[in-house]
Amino acid sequence: MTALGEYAYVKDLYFEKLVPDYQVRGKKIFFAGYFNNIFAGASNQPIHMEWTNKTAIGGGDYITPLTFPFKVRLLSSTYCWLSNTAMLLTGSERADFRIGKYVAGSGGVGNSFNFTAVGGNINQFTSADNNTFPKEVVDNSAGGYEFDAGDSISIECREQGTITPTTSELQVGLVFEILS
Amino acid sequence: MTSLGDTAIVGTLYYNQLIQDGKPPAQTVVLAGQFENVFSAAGGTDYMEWVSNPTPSNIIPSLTMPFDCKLKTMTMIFKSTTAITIPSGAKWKVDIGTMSANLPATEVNWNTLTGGVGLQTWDETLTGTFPNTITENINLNISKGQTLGVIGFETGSMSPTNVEVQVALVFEIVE
Repeated sequence: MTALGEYAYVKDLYFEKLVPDYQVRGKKIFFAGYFNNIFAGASNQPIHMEWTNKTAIGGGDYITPLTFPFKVRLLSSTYCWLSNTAMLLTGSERADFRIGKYVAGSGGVGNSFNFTAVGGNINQFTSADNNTFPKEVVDNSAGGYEFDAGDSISIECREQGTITPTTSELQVGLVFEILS
Repeated sequence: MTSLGDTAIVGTLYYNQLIQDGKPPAQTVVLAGQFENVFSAAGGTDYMEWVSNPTPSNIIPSLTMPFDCKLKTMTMIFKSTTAITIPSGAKWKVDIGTMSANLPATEVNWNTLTGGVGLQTWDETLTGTFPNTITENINLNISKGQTLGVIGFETGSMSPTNVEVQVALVFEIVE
């Protein structure tokens, strides 16, 4: 498909007619999320994003999913470091962000081992982010992060090494496209 | 506009006729926020929480926007069992701004997007009520990558101080 001018056209397979691609794209939805004390845990300990309130379970081996009522795919995500102090990570230290879903298993929803990631990292902080206050937008549209209606979606961060400060938060924004 | 070859052309369909350059229908998204224990902060400023409050109390909860958009509408509702008290001359202005790049999300690094006019102001005319207000046709342009914070500026002394204000912000995505 080649875009010409403002909007590209794609073939509508049902009517076998050309229609603007925006007519077959799904509606976008936007969520705000939050990692509380994101780097307070030990190296490689998962922490999951809160969808509504930091007083929910979090900061440890817990999964905090939200069940979606329709099929979606992740289009993009944003990250804003909420701290008075710049993020400090050096050498091989990093933070890996993944999106996945809760899959029933031992320990129920409260057990992070019941998190199954979909695709690769949706974002990563590395030593390139050292001594900064990240505020960034990441395009995830090509990552294949698709979920079915009824999937319980969660966002996981795993810190590798010792990132500081440990008493700061990360605000997240997530844009999904509704597929059906 | 050149080829249909692969499937590309510019225009829009109207009754299955390709007529002219088209615009996609605007999509809107709604984000909810909350002022917790509004009117309780020292210095008369409260920060709206998109999800929750950061650990350092001087940090503004700030959300980086993933697309170009326009802020179209804002609603606020007072969540209390006691009516609001706004003495004569007192007021509460809620404003939206952006955070400076690569700096802490603090008030000194917050920059109003309304020229300081604000999005809504509650004043003495609302005293004794349970405000439920809406501002429409704001049409404030916001760029992808801008980081937003919403601040309430209290002048005078409003009460009660242990209640909340729920906020909704309607953004129209610009594509």
